[in-house]
Amino acid sequence: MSQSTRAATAALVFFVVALAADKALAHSGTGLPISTRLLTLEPAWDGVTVQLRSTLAPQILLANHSAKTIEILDAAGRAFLRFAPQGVFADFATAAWYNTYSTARLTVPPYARDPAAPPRWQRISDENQWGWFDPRLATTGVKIPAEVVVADVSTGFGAWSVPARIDDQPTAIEGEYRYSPLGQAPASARLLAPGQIAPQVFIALVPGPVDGLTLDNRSDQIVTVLGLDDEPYLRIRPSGVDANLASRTWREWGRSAADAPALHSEQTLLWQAVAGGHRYTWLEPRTRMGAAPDDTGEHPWSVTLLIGDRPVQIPGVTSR
Amino acid sequence: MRQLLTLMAVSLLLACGGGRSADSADFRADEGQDGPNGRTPTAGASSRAAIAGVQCSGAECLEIGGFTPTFEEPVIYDRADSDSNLGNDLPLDNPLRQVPRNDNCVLDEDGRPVNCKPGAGTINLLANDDMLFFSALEGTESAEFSIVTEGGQALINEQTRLLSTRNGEAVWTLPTPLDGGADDAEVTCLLPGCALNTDADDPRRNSGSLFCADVNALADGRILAVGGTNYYSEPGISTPFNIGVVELEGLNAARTYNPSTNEWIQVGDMNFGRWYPTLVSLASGDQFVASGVTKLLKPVYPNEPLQSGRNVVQTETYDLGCGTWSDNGGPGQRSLPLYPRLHLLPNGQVYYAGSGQAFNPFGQAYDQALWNIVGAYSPETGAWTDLGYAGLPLRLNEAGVGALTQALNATNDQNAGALQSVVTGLVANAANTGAVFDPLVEGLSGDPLNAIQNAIYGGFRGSTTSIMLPLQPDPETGSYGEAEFLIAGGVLGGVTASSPGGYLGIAASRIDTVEIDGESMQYSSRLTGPLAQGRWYGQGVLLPTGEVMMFSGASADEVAAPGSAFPRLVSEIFDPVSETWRPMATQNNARTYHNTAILLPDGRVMVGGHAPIDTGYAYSIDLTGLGLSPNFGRDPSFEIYSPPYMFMNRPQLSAAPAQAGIGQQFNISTPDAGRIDEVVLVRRATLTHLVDADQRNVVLPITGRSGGSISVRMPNAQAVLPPGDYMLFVVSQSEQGRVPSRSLPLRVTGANTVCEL
Repeated sequence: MSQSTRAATAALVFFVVALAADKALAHSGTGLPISTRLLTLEPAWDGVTVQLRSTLAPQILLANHSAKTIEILDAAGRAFLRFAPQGVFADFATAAWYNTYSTARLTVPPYARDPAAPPRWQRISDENQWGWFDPRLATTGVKIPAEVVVADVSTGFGAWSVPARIDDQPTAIEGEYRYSPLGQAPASARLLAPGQIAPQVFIALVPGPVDGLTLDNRSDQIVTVLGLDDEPYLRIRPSGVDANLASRTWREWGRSAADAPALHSEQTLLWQAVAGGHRYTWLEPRTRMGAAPDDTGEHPWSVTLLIGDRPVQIPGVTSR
Repeated sequence: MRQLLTLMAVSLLLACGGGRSADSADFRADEGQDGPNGRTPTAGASSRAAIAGVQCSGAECLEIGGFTPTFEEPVIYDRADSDSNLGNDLPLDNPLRQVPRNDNCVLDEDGRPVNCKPGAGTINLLANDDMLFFSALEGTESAEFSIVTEGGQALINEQTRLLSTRNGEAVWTLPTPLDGGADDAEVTCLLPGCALNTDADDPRRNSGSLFCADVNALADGRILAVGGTNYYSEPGISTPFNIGVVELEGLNAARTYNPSTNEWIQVGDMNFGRWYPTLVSLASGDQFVASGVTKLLKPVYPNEPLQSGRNVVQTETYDLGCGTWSDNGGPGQRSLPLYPRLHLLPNGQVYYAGSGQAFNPFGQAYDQALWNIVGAYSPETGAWTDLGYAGLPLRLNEAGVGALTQALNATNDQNAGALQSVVTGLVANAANTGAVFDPLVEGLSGDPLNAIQNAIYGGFRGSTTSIMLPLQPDPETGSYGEAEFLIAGGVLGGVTASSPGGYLGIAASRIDTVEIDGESMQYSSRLTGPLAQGRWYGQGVLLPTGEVMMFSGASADEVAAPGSAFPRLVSEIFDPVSETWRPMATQNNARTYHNTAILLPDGRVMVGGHAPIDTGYAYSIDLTGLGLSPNFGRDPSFEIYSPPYMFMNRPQLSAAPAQAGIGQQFNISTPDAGRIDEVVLVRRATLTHLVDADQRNVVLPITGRSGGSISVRMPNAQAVLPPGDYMLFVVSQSEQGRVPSRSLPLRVTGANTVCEL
């Protein structure tokens, strides 16, 4: 075989293999047009941060900033994770611990195969947070209703639930599966406010998988950004930026959220300087497409600022 | 296809030995050796080759300069002993796979390459004018079917080399240990079935590779390398043969190379493993490190789940006196791209230029919107300050109006009618405010701000060169109150898309300015004329004249789709006066990924490297017949570029002090004192992956001239000239242009080497 023929053959084989692999992926579990979404938690979860992250698979990340004890239950109703003020504990006598530690399940030891085995609680983290790959969020095997496929628009369907206990009271982390048509354009957000929202105060949208907002405060007033719970979140002064480390928004989305300190039980304000200058950019999860976009397929959103003491709404819309 | 490419892009970058080196190097193996290939490495062993003259003549040299023919190390060292696992242990042969050029690699009995010559994926110019370099993607030649599935075993620790080029001869010498000597790194396996390859007795071990470390020169001339790669498969199996999904874990290792002993040693570990970090020298000589990722494929941090899905946000500082790293704390954290383009500002703050590398999985990083924002880190306060959206506000000059109008017309036909007048009208009213575009926004339909941002190629830029232009003293005060950065080529961030963002190399070029008044900083940007060709991974080199050369690279992102791009062979030069680019001489070899280019003490430029990913993340396929990048082998060769000034009447620099401190005045001897226009200190290069964060030219104010002597004054701020080794040039102005002398070495003193606990 000549060098050129060999090269051409090699190239052809490579691209055929690549295309075949692409087709295979498109119809495999990884290619399913299904995602998971977390729905609003009950008030009992106040002080607890629950997030879904899609890394190798849907993963629940839970951080317990409260004094409550939270237990995550397996399919049989037995606790296998416990988030206590002293840290995070796992029951090594449950199969669920081994099945949720990573996407590829660990081997379950013999002593954990008996559902009635006595618990073996062990501390797995001194911190207040842990992430696990809960199989109840898995999208493989989830059947998409025919009408959803026919309509071929983004929509929620079906529900998933991870039972839990908070201070021995039953509750759950709940969410839904969401269908997104293949090839659908990514959602993009637009700011409906003018660039200048007050004298010498400017704002702009910064695009990303999670959009950001950037604010330039050249005035002599303090601009306060209110967070997801309308709590004081950021304070952009003419000569520096403070974050409320007690803010849920900071603890979930702040630029250095992982370093947020432990709080007293009722603490709602803990300001700390986090940046210099009069500009700041923060991730703004409110711009993300919501679970129920309005009839136009658009997701209107709004962020509230206080310029001095004066509230100012920053409206926007996200659409595909 | 996108999913496949994402998976591939996530995994990494590989290729194989080879290239198209000219065979013109005058090979002369050392005496007493049996031949060029298969020698066992011996500390201090060396080999040599002649460097031929430049390939241009007459007016051509004066117009576009010229390159020497390529030259390369004549010896291939055998890094495997007879009992070790040589290369790939797969029991199958791929009949379509093409091996690299035989004289770059030693083949085993099955015809598989097992030892290859290293190329310069990373290179440092030492104080004695020698160069320390090491390869990239060492061992990719062993992949039989797919580097993704075989890379965990096939990829091995990089080889390092000391290279000197004097008197028309290149000499390669082996440092000790050859691979930099990182200890076996600990790996936290996220999945069961990690197939590690950490046998310390295996000369082909791959748990401490220098690949994807960053390098910097310390104040005393040692080279510091931080991070690196531990290759393994996860998940994977090791028996009956080693296969799986390659993972690249960032090392927390830090090691130094000592030029006086030609040895590497380990120093204190960082607190975080980092793959693709960036190092910057601080004014004190301490080292600041940022970004990197702990696992390329799986950026998951079991102990810190809230950090997962993004790069390492913690920054650290290396105390030069204590030799230890410290975490800079919460306000020192910042989400940055990989290999973020960082520079030290004259006020001592570390500037992030809104650009870097980006190919994490699953859409880069969930917080990558923040990468669009240029900012500065203060070592004094330990906090960052946001300075603005990269590329905005735009100060509209003539070049900017032309580029903006053209871009907007091209992309927004419905707006074409009103644009010219609107844009032109802005020139007179280009106030430095966030509202500068409001009149333009009102004249556009759709999503005007986004259209403008796209038109000016604002926001995060990937795989671009970021050059700090010469720092100039204020003629009145002598202070350095402004820094400018040339951002040219690369790919658009595509931050709303998933990895790896933009694909086609762009020609856009801009200069970002940071005006400094103490701790206060004002950021703005202006467009320059574009590159002659769109260019991904072009390597910029700042010349002593203030001009910028651009070498190598490709038409499109060779990480997104390896082997699909056309190499860029025509170099270009940026004229800082007209702020335009123009084509220059054509280099010999294609050097697309992991290319390097650094300024030499005599004013020429050493061009090398090329360690591409196997075509389509598969195996070696030679598609150069189609004009595509030669991704069937790495290139161990070098070539030297001579800019036009090398052929002009150059000023002479006779003598200068060997060292100088901040605020000091000193004299230099030159028979051309009367025609010297500028005296410039140029930091010696420490380069990898387009990143040389310490790169800087500092113009010194001339305080007097007498006969054959010129008096100059060093800056008063150490941050303008961090301690370390520099090249001192004098530059004259002629009718043909600016002409530099050969340089003399000068060490800037002032490092804080006291350990203050």
